[in-house]
Amino acid sequence: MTVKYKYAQKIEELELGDSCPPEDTSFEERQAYRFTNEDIGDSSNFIPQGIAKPARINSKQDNNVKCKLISGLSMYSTKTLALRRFSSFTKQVKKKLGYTHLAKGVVGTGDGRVTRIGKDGHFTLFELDSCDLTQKFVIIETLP
Amino acid sequence: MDTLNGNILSSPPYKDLTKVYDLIYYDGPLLSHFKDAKKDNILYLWVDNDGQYNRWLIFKVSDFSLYKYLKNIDSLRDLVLDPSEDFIFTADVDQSLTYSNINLFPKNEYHLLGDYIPEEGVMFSADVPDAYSFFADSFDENLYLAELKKRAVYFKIKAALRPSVSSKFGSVVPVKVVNDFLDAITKSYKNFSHYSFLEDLKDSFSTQEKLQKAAKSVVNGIEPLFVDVQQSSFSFGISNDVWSIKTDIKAVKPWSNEILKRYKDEVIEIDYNSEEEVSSILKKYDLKERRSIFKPIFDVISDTGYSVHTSDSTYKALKDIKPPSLRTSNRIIKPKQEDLVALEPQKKKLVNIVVEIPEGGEVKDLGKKKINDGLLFSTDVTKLTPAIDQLMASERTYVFARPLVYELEFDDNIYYIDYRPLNFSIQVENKDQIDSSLAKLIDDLYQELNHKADLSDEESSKKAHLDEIIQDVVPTES
Repeated sequence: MTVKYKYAQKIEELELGDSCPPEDTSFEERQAYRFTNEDIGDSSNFIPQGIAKPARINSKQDNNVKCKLISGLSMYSTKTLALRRFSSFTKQVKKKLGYTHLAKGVVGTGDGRVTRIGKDGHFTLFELDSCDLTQKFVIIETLP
Repeated sequence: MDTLNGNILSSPPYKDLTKVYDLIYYDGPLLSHFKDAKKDNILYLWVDNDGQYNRWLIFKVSDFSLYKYLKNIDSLRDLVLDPSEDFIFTADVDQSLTYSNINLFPKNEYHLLGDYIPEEGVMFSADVPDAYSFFADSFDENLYLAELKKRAVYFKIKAALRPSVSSKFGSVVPVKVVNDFLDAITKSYKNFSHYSFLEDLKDSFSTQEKLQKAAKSVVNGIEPLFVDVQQSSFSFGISNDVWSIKTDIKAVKPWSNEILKRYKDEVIEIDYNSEEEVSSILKKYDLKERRSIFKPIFDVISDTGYSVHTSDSTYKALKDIKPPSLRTSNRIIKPKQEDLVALEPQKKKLVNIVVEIPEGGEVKDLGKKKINDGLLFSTDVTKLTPAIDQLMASERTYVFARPLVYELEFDDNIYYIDYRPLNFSIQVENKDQIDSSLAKLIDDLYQELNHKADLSDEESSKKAHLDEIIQDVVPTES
């Protein structure tokens, strides 16, 4: 059965073909934490940077980077690691990203493919077209 | 995006960049590491954007600075302000990777970058990424030592041109001379650091106990390290590790960075024949402090069989260290008669005794004679674990559900108190301060945790422990 990714059209426009999502991703169920706005229903919480701010993609980036920017969402595997990472953002970066809250949810096998979890707890989710993360995540606390 | 007022450049500062890794990534790169053609480390920190451009702060860093950042020793601010580099750049980069509005900021204009320069205390906050494990390991072995050498103070001890010395050993310096010298430097430097810490950073700590505790920990952390040596006339380098110090007090790090150089300037290379310098020493330190800092050095540099010099790592530009005249030495370190008692306070010890008392009686009711009569045995102790049923703070008295058992150590006339469940250690000089210091600490902590909205995991655990052991809190009767 073929699966349709949420940003398939953009993936096609950038001619990323089968390399997006990358091969070393998988369908897995995972606890996930993500920085969001106060209103979890705000759809801008779950928009890839390459869609929200197209300038973040440039012609010299390799396909893997372009793929993540145009169709990937950053998540963390634990609350501790998410907050630790947030503490490594400067005041200026926090201001520009604009996120104020930490949300928690479970990403299921029907939501998309995920990358391996990095040492800092980070992984990227490539959403399927049917995935609606605003229904799956809840705000758990305000970011410091 | 903010308008920048740097020095406009027509082309990007670094070319032929190869991406190494995105050190911080969230929905896109926030801090990226590149190498240029010369294999220098170039970092791009994302600082701003609009619909067309992303603005990056672009800066070069040394391997060692990057290592310290990745190991969570230095902050991102330390990395950006890497003292070995003289410029920071900004550039606005669009989708076609065209650079525009390229600005150069020399060191004296970094303030123009405003919030683009990271604030204090923002750390990498993660383990070293796998991509850097080899890099970090190599630092652990080699560059760490190289950096220690870079900041080292170098000494050379030469046999004086006296027949009694030179005919026997030539220019070779006996081990005992070296040993005495290193011992003297260690004592003198540590005492200098200790007193300087207490004076320089007294306003950075909320209590005297915290200041004392930090002084002990930091001074031990920056103890002198033997980092380089040459034979013949004995030459060596002494340095200190300022990167491993863990502290939340911002002023400690810059203080630690300077202390070895200050020791060299203010104790070793000072002109003891200058009345101004000597007066400054007399004004700055009391006799006890002067003796602990200057006496070890006077003892070794006054040995007429050898001369001491400071140097750089090449041992070429030698500076003679001249001992003070006897008169000056006496002014600085010789105690007057009335000072002698104060200098050598009676050293105390703790004794654990088992004594027989009448049933219904209390130890405090016993006089000296009765204690002697009832004494079964005694033994010297340095560590014990007293238990207390209640603690009386100034406003509140804490009654415990079960005795609070803490560790008490007595060493060199100082009482060290540890209570592990709450992870605190304090020290006091007088036994009468033990209960009051403990009470104040428990009171401050209990009140703070009960009035704080968001507790960290560690704070929650401390609060749970306090709730468990405290049975009642009642007003202290005046």
